[in-house]
Amino acid sequence: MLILSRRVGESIIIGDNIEITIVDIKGNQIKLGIKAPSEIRVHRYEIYQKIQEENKLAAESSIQPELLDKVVIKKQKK
Amino acid sequence: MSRQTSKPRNNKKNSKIKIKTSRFGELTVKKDTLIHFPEGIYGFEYAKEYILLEHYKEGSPFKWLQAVKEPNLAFVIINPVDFIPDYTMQLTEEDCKFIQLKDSGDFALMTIVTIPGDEPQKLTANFKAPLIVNVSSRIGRQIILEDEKYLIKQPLFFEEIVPAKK
Repeated sequence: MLILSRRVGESIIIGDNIEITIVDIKGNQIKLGIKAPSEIRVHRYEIYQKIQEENKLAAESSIQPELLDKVVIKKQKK
Repeated sequence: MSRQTSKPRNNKKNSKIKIKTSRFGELTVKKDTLIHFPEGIYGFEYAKEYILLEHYKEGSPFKWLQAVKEPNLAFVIINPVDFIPDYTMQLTEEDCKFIQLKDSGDFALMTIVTIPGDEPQKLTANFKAPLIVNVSSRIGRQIILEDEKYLIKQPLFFEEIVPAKK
């Protein structure tokens, strides 16, 4: 793993078009600013993992079509 | 003297393809009804083309998003607005660009449903990571909302099935 030291306001660049800036540091929390092309998706890692897991669960659990009929949805009332 | 052959017919747009599915058998669909997810869906990056199927039961809130090249891969989906009428989300500039959405363009919104095999009544939907699809370009993307109020496992309201009284 490449490890670089940066100060607030400084940046790193990944490839030619991904720019990450240290915006702020407070205690053990760091705020990052990220500039990247639209095809590069940027997410918090743990959320990204959870979404992957949930999709896998959904695909595995997508029951046979006829079982869906046994699920009766009650619409939410305000 | 032979007549000049008519210009080649453009079959591409209306051409049909056959899709093998484990749940719905073999389907023949028009190629221009496919939905393209250039990045795939999280966890299924290899499957990039899908077809939207109505659930056969009338009035059902469910639809199916069936992968074109993976017979086993299908997601149950719903329109989140059917369940949370004030479901709101902000599309980022990057997302709009990615699905080629112009200012006035329409996009479809869907969320993936997870149905526990042992307790199908406890189904949930992933309101945190909806799918957006540009209706005209048919390009889609799964996005992850920053909004904390929408959950990955948001219960869908349901009522138990009670056997009909005699």
